Amino acid sequence: MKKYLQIALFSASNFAVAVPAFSQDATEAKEEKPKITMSGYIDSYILHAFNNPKSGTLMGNTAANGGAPTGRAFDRLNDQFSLGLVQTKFAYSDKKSDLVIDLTFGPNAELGNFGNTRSTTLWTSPNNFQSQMIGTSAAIKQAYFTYKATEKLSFTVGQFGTHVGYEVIDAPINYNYSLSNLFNNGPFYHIGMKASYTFSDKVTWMAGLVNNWDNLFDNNSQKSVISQLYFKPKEGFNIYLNYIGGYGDDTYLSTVATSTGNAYLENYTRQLFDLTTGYQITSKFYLGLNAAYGFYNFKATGADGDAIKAQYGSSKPAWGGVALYSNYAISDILGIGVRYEYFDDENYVRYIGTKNTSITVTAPITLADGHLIVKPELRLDNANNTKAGDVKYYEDKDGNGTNTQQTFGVAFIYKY
Amino acid sequence: MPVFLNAVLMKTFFLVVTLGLSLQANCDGQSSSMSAMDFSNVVVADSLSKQFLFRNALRWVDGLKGSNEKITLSQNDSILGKVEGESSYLVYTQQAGILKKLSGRVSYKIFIEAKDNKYRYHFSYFVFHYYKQDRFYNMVETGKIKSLNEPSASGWQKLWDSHRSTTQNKMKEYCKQLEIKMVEKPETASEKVVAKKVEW
Repeated sequence: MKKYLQIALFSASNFAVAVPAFSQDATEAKEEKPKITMSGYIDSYILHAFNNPKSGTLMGNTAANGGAPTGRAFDRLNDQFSLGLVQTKFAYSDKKSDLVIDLTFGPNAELGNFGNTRSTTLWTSPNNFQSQMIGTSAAIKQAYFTYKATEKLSFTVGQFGTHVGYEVIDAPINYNYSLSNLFNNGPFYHIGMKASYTFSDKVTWMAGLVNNWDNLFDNNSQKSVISQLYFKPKEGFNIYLNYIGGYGDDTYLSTVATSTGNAYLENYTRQLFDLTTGYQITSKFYLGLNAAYGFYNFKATGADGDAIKAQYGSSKPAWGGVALYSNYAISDILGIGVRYEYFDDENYVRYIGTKNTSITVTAPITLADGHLIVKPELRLDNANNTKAGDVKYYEDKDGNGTNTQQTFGVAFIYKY
Repeated sequence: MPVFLNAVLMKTFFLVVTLGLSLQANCDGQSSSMSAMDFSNVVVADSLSKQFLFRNALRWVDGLKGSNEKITLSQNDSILGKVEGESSYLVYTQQAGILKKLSGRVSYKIFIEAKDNKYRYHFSYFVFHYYKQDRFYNMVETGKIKSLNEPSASGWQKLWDSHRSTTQNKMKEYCKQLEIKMVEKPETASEKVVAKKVEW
């Protein structure tokens, strides 16, 4: 912890000044006088899975991963109208500061805020995907302020969306409705503080300290270091190099796993490196890439070390993946986009516990002066059998395992 | 009435009439049709030198910089009397109050050329630059563009019409401001010296 704190303080001391990261265009767009804005959206969806899972969810075969497969993290319900999320976002901005209050409600709000469990007894539910939410805390997706010390240096404090990854929870911002495994298995939000320094309109660096991943209540007082380096080689081409790392920063491991007689799991570090990039190749064609690699480094030796190797296959179990995004604007109303993703969590250090390949084709239709977006979407998933137990990952109509899942659905997003 | 006063009055009268006619011919003329976003005029500025007009053109451009416009000059030649460049301004959604949001950016070309006793200007190539919210919630340009001369925008016609209307009103106002500014006599240092009392 001390080491990470030193790194963070060193990073901060190297900056003379900070700006809200990546906001060159946004800064240009801002008016000088203070302003308050309100925005938000609602989304809902209906989809059909051609493998007709008996359970009615797209999560996967309950025989996989001890009954907790996560084939889909958000759009998980089959053959029914489902509400996603309701958002109301307030923002205040003036010359020296910004304030964001981003409130969300509904099923996806709770899933996106799943680390905010009741009181200090974290993970009281035996299933860590059904956390017991603290009432009003579960409604806060983001709540932070940014103080612009100078034109180049800014400081942000509060709960903010993660800097890691390509996708976000907000359905209007993502091209595809269904979220990738890279997103589902990465961090969603952080609570802490960060500093951002803009070297030029082409380079920005952010660094900070946070309560680990998705962690409103820090269970062991260990903090994680976050960092992001942003490059803009040319107009329309953005590259983000992201990092988060810390000691004992996996709340599940540090609470549930260690409390069940596996105390040796408590002594570890975890690192995640992420590359997110996008390039508007022509005025109509866009290409994006997300690649992530993360690993744990367990310190236990002897019998404990052997137990770790037996469970994870290595004392440094890793996970990672790559996703390629492309989309083409056929007209102002209609576009088409394809996402290809390969994700490997074979050692089950994250949530999916297998290797999975998916292709998602989305054709957004934008109506009502941009307020309404209808997204028909086809998604094809193909997973390996799980390493533990050799179980087929997805579920068929009889409740048995199958390696593939194909869904077609439509999402409706209204934003204001 | 002294002869020289008569001449000054005549020149002033001529300038006012010319200015009035030119404003009517261009700014009002544009409002009758929104299909072509193009604003130009040739204005007689009797008795005003090229250098005087050129300086005033630059003063007008400087004034634009202070009004939330982002200007890049590609030519600023006092010998040729030409000011040329590109400017842009942001346009917003039609929603009022706290719901008002950034929609995009409109860029256009500015051309002003001064000669002795006359000048001309041309605002042209109006292009809308699409913006979207990125994954960090900042409004950024997508790289996609659309000419403001295009009358239709499927799926967002009302907003598109409002951007075209905003542009037309803004340019009409710029025409007026420019033509007033071009004949305006700046307060110069030499005048201040003349006005200063000199003690023997």
